[in-house]
Amino acid sequence: MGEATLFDLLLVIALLTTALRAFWAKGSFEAVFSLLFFGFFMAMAWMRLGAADIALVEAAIGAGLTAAILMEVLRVVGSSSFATYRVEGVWMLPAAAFLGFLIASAFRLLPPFAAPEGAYSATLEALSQSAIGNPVTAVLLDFRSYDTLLEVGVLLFAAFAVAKLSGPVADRFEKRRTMLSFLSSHLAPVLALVAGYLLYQGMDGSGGAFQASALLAAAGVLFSLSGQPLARQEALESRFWLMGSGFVFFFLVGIALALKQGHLLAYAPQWQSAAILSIEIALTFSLAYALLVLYWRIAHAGKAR
Amino acid sequence: MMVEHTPWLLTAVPLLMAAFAMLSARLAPYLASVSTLICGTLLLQALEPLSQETIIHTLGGHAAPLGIELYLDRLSWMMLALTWLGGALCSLYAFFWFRSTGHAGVAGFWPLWLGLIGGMNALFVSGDLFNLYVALEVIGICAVSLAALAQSREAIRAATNYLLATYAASLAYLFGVGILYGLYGTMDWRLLATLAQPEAPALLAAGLMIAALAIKAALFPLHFWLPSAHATALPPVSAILSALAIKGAFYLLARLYIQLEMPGSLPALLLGYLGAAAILYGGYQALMAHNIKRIIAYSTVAQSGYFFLIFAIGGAMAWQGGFLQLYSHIIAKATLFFAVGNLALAAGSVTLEGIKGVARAAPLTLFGAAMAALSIAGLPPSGGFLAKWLLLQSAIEGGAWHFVAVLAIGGLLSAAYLFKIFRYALIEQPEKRFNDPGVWLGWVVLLGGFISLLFGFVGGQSVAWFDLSALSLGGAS
Amino acid sequence: MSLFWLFALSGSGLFILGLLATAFRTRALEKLIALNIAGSGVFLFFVALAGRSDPPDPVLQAMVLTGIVVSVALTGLGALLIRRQMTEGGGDDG
Repeated sequence: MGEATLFDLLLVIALLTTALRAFWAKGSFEAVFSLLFFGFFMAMAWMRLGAADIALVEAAIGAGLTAAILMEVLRVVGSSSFATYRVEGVWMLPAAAFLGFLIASAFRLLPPFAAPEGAYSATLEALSQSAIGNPVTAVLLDFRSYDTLLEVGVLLFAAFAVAKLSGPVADRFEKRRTMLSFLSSHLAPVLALVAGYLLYQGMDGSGGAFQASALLAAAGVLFSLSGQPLARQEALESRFWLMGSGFVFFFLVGIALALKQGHLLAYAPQWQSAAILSIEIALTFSLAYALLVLYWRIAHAGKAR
Repeated sequence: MMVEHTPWLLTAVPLLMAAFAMLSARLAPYLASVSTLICGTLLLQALEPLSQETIIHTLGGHAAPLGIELYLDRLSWMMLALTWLGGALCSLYAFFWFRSTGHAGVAGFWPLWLGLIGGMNALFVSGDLFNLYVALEVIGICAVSLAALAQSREAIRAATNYLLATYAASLAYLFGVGILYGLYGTMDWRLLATLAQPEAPALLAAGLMIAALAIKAALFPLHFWLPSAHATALPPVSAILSALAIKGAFYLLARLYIQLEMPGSLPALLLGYLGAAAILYGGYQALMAHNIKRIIAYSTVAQSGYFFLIFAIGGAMAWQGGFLQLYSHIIAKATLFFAVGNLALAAGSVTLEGIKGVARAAPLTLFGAAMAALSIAGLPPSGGFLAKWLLLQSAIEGGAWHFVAVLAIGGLLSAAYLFKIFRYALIEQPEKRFNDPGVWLGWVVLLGGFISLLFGFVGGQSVAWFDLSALSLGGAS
Repeated sequence: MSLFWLFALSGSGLFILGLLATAFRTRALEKLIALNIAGSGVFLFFVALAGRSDPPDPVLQAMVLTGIVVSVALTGLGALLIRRQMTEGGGDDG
C-alpha cells in the first residue's frame, strides 16, 4: 500500500470531525445527522482503500438505512437541545488515553504485510482454482460460508424480535404528495434494477447478495416514504416465511451438500456456480425484506395495549 | 457415520426449528421438543467416540486457515450436555408457565429461545475466533430480545442497557480478533496456539477480548447490566438468561486461558480477584434487596464469581471445582428462578412483604427451591457443595488464605439471602388469599431441585471425565 | 506516513472515542450512535489491515461485510427498544 496523500489526510480529518460532532452533539438530532455524514465519508474511505464491495453496503446500510431508522426514532423521542453528559467516570479519560497509547505502540509491531502461510495466501491459492471471480463473494459463500450462514441468522432473529416487540402497528400513514414522494416512487424502481445487476455481477465483479439486498432495502425505504397504498399495506404485514426463506434455503443446501460430499456446504465443482448463485438470489430477497421489516416496524411501532 | 456431523448438526437443528417456529406459534413448543430430542440423541451418540478422540468437522471441506473447523472435545461436550439439560428444564417450565398465564410474550419466545440454544451450541464447538464472534452475536440478539419480551417499561429499559453493553463488548472482541489476524494471519485457535507469542500486539488483543468477555459474562464490576435485565424479564426468561446465556462467555474465557497458556499471568490473577470481589459484592447486594427476583439476580453475580476464582487459584482440582460450580449453577439457578416465578404467580407480588405466607399455596415449589438453595449456598449433599469444597481444598493447598476467607464469607452470605426468602414465605398468614400456581409448575421446580441434589453424587465422576490433566492449567498440583 | 498507518490509527481512534462517548452520553439513542461510529472505527482498522497486501485481503473485507450486517441488526433492535421506552406509559408492572 502506498503513501498517504493530501486527499487521505482530508478524508481522515472529515471522518474525525463528523464523529466528534456526533459525540459532542447538543442533542439527538445533531447526533443522527452527524452519523449520516460520517457514513458518507466512511464510504469514500472504503473506496480509497480499494474495498468497493464494502463502500456500496456502507452507503446503503450505514448511511442510508441506519440513518432512516434513527430518524424515525427521533420523530418520537424528540430532540432535546441540551447536551447531557455523565459527570462521574472521569477516570475513563486517562484509561482511554492509555489504551490509545497502547494501541499506537502495539501497531508499530504489526507486520506491514499479510502473514505468510496464513488465510491470505491460502485464499489466493484457492481462488485460482475457484469458478468464482469475486474474491469477497468466494470468502463469504464458499471458504467461510458458515460465518455468513450464522450472520444471516443474526439478522433474521433481530428482524423477528423487532416485529414481535414493536407492539400493535398503528396505521397512521399520511399521504404525502411532495417532491420527495414523486422522486422516491420513481427512484425506487431504478434502485431495484441496479440491485438486480449487482446480484448478477457479484459472481465476478463487485457486488453480490449483500450489496443487492442493501440497495433493495434502500429502495423499499424510499418507496414507503412515498406513501403509496401498496407500501402502506406491506408495512403492516410481517411475512416471516419470506424473512426466513434465505436462511432456511442456505442451510438446507448446505445439509444436502453435507450428505453428498461429507462436509457442510462443501460444493462439488460442477455444482458450485449454480449452488452459489441460487443461494445469493434467495439471500438477496430475504435479507432485503428483513432489513425492511426493521425499518417498517420501527417507523410504525405503536403503543402496547 | 453420523458422528462427524454432530458439531454442526447441534447448531443446525435448533436454528432451523427456530426459523420454522416463527411461522406458527401453536406448533412452536412441539418444534422445540423435537429439537431437544434430536440434540439429546446426537450428544449421546458422540459420547462413545469422544472417549478416544476429539471430533473435528472441516466446514465446506476447507481446512484452516482457509476455512473454519469445528472441534468437539470432552470439555465442549460437557458444556453442550449441561446446556441441553438446563435448556430442557427451561423449555418444560416455559411451556407450563405460558400455558397457565397466557402471556402474550409466547408469540416471540420459542423462536428466540431456540435461536439462543443454536448460538450457544455453535459457540461451544467453534474453533475460529471470528466465527465465535458471530455465534456471540446470535446469543446476544436472542438474549436481549428475550429479556424485552415482558414488554414492561422497566424490562425494555433493562434490555436496552443489556444491548448497549453487549454491543460495546462485541466491538472490543472484534477489534482483538482483527489484531490477532493482522499478526498471525489466522483465526483458528489451534493454529493460533502454535503461533502466538507474548508480544505487545497479541497481549493487547488478548486484553481487549478478555475485557469484552468479562462484560458478557457479567464479571464484577462489569455486571452493571445484569441485575435489572434478569430481574425484569419473564420468569422462564430470567431462568434462561441467568442459568445459560452468560455461560458461553465464561467458557470462551476458559478456552482462551487454556489455549494461550495464561496460568499465573497478570490478567488471570486479575480475573480471579475480580471473581472474589463479585462473590462478596453480589452476596451483599442480594442480602440487601427486597425484590426476590433481584435477590436471585444478584446471586448470579456472586455465583459467577466462583467460576473466575479458578484463574487465580489454578490446578486441576480448582478447575474441576470451578466447572462443577458452573454445571450446578445452571440447574440450581434455573430452578430458583422457576420457584420465584411460581411464588410471584401465587402471591401476585415479588417483594419479600408480598410473599409472606406463600408457603401454604406452593409447598412443592418451596420444597424444590430448598433443594436448589442447598447447591447455591454450598451445603451438602449437592453439586454446589462439592464444587465449593474442591475450590476450598485447592485454595488451602495453594496456601491462598484470602480466597479461603472469601469462600467462607461467600457461603455465609448466600445462605443468609436465601434463608431470608424462605423465612418470609413461611410466616403464617391465615387470612391472606393466594392463587394456585398450578401443580405442573411446582413439579418442574421439584425436578430441578432433585437434579441439583443428584449432582452432589455424580458430579465428581463427571468432572473427572473431561480429563483436565491434558490441558495446561498451572497451579500448585 | 503510509496509508495503512493513517487509517489503522484513525480507526482505533474512532473506536476509543466512540466507547468513551458511549460511556459519557446519557441518552440511549446517542449511546447507540456512538457505538455505531466505534464499530465503523473497528471496520476501518480491518480494511486498513486488508490493504497491506496487493490484492487486498478478501478475508478481512468479508469480515467487515459480516460486521456491518450484524451492526445494523443490533442498531435496529436497539432503536426499537428505545422507541418503545418512549411510547410506553409509566406503568411499573412485573
